[in-house]
Amino acid sequence: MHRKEGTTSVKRDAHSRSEGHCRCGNRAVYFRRYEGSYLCSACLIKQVEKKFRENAKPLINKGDRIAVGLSGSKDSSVLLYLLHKFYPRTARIIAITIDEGIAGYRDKSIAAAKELAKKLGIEHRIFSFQKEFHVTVDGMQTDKYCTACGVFRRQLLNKAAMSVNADKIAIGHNLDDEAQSIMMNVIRGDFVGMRRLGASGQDGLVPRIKPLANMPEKEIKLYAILNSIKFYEGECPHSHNNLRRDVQKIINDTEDAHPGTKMQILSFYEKMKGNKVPKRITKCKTCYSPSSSGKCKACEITGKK
Amino acid sequence: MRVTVNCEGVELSEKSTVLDALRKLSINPEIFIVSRNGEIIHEHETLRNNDKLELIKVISGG
Repeated sequence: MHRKEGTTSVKRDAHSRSEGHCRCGNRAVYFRRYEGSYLCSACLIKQVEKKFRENAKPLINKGDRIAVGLSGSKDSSVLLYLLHKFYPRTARIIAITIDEGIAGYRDKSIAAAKELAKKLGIEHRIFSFQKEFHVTVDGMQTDKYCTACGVFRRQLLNKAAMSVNADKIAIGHNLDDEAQSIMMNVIRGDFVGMRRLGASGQDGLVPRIKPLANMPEKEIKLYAILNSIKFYEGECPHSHNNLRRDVQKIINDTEDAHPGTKMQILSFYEKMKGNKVPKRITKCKTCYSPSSSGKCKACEITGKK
Repeated sequence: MRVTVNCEGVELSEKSTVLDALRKLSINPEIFIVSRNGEIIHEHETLRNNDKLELIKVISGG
């Protein structure tokens, strides 16, 4: 049980340092390395929720219709749970799952997504690559599954959000995802891609919000476990040998040696983003989807004319 | 003393911590949550002889 001890803050700090207890006096479950502080389960939950509310406040307006990208894994499940907990009346929430056609993986995560949406009483819709593009990730003839999958998924999620008249799409990207995306663009030398990371709300694109973007993956996972939120734990079988996995390892090794690295990468990007350059989005001449060039990646991959 | 980490035995000196056990196995503490007897513990928790630790992978999804 979470309780406050009747000791002075000085005594609590000394206790915290010597015994690995939370500032409140309870047994800690987590050492937040980038801050050098211990957190008990109740304080960790409280801090995750506080940060979520601070992040979400400027992103969500009263009456917003929010399409939540729900994969069934921990991040999107926690996002749906938090939106449902703190915005039950402010916003109308609809969960959207994209079925890329990955046997033994997506079918299981869809089952978890369905279960969570049902438990929370949230409308849930599933859109598939097969139905929309007549392709599945498993059936793709490419060694760049993640690139192709990402292209189709972003396009379909946008289309799905438009079909339910969503004002915004909420995505469960966490701090680790964001730091990886930034570094991947650095490694590729893709400055325009980096600038486009935050592209949102332009012609044909439903604005995207990421209320977990500055929250470490580990804290989100702990939050899910401590709140008994059901999610699917598996990893995509096609993602083992991609750039993201390599960058993930580099960043996690660096974070281990230099706590706070992930926060600093994001902070660097935020500062850089403030230095505005024009972001241009046009339309694909074949399918009329929003695209950075005359032909979108989806049509390029499928060879659609 | 001896502890097991996901069924793998590790020899450690007295008063070793979770972090010591992970370092000995060359495991990055950043990507695992550790539990002992079903209870989540932090990386500086002192271990006892015959402790059985379970590692929960942080990374999942795509």
